[in-house]
Amino acid sequence: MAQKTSLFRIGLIISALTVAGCSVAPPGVDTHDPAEATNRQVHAFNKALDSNVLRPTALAYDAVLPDPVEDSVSNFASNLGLPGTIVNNALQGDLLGAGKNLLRFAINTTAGIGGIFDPSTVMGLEEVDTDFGETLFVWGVQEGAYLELPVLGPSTERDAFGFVVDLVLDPMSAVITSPESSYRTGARVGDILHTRSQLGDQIDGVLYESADSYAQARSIYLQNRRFKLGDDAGDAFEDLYADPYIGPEE
Amino acid sequence: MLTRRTFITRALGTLSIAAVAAPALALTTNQASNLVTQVAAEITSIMNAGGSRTSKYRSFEQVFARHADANTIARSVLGPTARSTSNADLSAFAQAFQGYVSRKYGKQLLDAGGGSVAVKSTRDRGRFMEVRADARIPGQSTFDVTFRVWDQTGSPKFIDMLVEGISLVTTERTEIQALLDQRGGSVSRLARDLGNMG
Repeated sequence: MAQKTSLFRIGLIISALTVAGCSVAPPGVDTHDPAEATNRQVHAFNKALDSNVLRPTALAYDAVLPDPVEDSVSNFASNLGLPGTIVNNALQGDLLGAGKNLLRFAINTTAGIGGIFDPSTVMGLEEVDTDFGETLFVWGVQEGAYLELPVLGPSTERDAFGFVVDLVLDPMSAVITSPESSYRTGARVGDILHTRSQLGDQIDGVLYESADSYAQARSIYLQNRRFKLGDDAGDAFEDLYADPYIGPEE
Repeated sequence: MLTRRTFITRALGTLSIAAVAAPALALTTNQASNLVTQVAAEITSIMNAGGSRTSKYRSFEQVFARHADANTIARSVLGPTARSTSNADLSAFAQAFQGYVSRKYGKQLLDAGGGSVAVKSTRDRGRFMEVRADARIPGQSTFDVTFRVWDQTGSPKFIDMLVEGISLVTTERTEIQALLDQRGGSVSRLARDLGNMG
């Protein structure tokens, strides 16, 4: 009953969002960041959290655990995330993606022994990754304002809302109870540390070697997110390349 | 009355106007994807060769100078500031930016330890060709690398490179703007300082 009420509420909010839109960018502007002052404060906090906690922990995690163990932990976490992804594939009408992920979940859970191994990728069956933020995009909801969230990092109004909904919609959270849920949480943390250490140099470059790490993170996040969604709406490439033969760029 | 002769004359007239108004992209999809394959091969041979990192960065810079439209990239990265910048400063900046980019991205290439690039498709996007490729670094899943190529200078040259949708020009434009702000907007000062960065 509680599940139904919260789903009903989410439905109401989504229809409100679709009608009113999240905060909308003025025309001609590629980056909509009305909350920049607050975002920059959050960024400073996140950077401190990274340099004091996340980065050193990730380096230690990577140093202590053998690579195959790190891979197993990440595989386990990813596999448990598949049912939630399948819900979004279905909501987007992507039956092919849902089917692939379902097959992947079945294979990795059985042949992959509870998701610790990833025979699916070896077979060429890669994850069709998605989330509720993308579902909202498919349903026509605008990106909204850029947000830097505490701990979670760069996001947008649409993606932040999507993140919360994903937590509610996740089938595994209903199925897995303690103590198994703490294994899952542990695996998620391990996966984050693994990712942080794998992308270590790039993240370090952006956060610690840029003149403006906030603007870099924002630019990189938005470009990559729009690319992954297949969102060409904001592509300003028309004006991006100065062409001395046609005239000064606008 | 629209006869065949008047129709052809009008059609030819329209074509010649179009040719003068907007230089047509003479570049073919093959030329664009061949450029990508060639540059990938040159980069790979630099990475496999012996020598210090510094000498490799210089070799990367030579590849950039040969195959990238450095002038356009520099102007695009400066954005609207380029319009009020003197030609001397622009060319100093273009030169300095070339070295900075070669060191900054060269370092990432060398740290990744090599990989392969396989062209998937080439698309005509009007002002430039877009060559999409799958890049693979051993031990990681494939990722998308897209190259934008045009021939406004007379031969096929790069004007941008995107990794998973993240454009070098767009990202560097944000960073260069921040660096300029730190130097009171002085392009010449930035050009001097870029020599020590990357």
